[in-house]
Amino acid sequence: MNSFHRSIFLLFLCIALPLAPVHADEKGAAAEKFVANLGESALALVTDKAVVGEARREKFRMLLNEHFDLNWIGQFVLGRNWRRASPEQREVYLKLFEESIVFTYTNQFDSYSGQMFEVTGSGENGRYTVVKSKIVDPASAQGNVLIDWRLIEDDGKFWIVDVVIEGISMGITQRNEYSSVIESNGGKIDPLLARMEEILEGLRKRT
Amino acid sequence: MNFLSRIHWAAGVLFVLVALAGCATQSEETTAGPQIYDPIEPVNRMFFAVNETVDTFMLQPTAFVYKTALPDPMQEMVRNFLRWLRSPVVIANSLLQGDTDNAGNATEQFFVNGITVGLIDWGHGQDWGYRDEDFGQTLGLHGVDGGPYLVLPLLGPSNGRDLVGRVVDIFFDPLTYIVSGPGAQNAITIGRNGTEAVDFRARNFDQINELKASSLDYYARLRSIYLQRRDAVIRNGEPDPEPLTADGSKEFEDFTPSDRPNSVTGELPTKSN
Repeated sequence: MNSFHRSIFLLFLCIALPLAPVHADEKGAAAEKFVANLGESALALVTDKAVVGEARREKFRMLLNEHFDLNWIGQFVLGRNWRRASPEQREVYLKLFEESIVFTYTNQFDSYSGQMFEVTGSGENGRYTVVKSKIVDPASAQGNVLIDWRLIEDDGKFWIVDVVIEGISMGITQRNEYSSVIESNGGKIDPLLARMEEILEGLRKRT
Repeated sequence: MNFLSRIHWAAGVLFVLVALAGCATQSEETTAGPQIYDPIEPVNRMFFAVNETVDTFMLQPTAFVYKTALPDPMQEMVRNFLRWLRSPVVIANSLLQGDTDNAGNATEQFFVNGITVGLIDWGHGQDWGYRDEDFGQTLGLHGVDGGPYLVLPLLGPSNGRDLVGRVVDIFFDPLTYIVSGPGAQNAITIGRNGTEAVDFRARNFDQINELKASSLDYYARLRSIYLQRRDAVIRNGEPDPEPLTADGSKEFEDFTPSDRPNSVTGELPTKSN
């Protein structure tokens, strides 16, 4: 690089550098707001004793679909097996996937005991925006739980694609689990779907 | 177990680990995706099933009685005491990791709570600001890989590195030297591990039951959770500086949904669903 090029490059850097962080900050702030809103809506739903049963699940399902890119997550969880699945299998799978999430989480609503949700910051991680947050338990200082939210952006609209609780990624946990089920069934996808159906049936009974 | 037999036991464990590592290193490089290395999975699954039986018929009923019958302040005391007993190991490992802040805070806790033999937590409400550290984490921080995933009888999920850590931590524990006689040593080891298990199960009673109920493959789920959690505590909860390693960030970095083949960023030009 000759000195002329270098000075042009430096000039460019000088112009670009002050701009970049501002842009990142705005994006981060918007992402933080997005997650904070989700937290508020979820807390309102959990504490609303008037909404129960199927109505509550329906509201949760809406909240889920407004904030989470379930198609993206479902594909990530299935990993390379997604490519091998037929269109019918994919459809059944995504439906079961959503239902399992709805029942798994709404079943735990009643164990809520006054915890608060707080967004604490954000940053960029490769292609993703990561929002940091924590659940504060007023009853115990050791009971705080750190949660990171991994987001993608599409036309100014955010979508959550992973939730990391105390370093444990829900997406990776499920991906590992599902691939273990598929592997132990000789690489076939239908047994996974049958098992998902079976577990979902069990979760329905626990409501 | 007296001191000498502990050393024999430790040597035995190390030998088994070296043997395991030796016979199974070839497959490691070809493993794609998550860093799950489970060369003795059938054996692990067998021990896992035994542990699950113990959980169902002993641990769970005991934890249930414990959490319903024992008043909350007494449960708190049990928990404080267990944490206090652990602090010498935390202090030793913090120092080995060069984390004098953590060691200092744990030391303060040890002496202040020591006034009431650890039963009452005098820092209550603001915590002591130290993390739990063990020798498995110390090894991890110094670049030692996890090695094979292991399920230990009664003790649960572990791996090669953390099993070595457990053994070494015995030597950091003053109780090992204070209490003499194999009978008393055994009683203390069993009593302490048992109480820790009951306390943990009681505090997470419903969550663990829900986790089991929603699992397609509970063994695989816990394995993934254990490995991710250990990686996170080794990094002390900091995000991975190199997003291409064990916490699976690489999986996210490389992932593009197949219905958006032209998208470089995983962002969605038009939401198809």
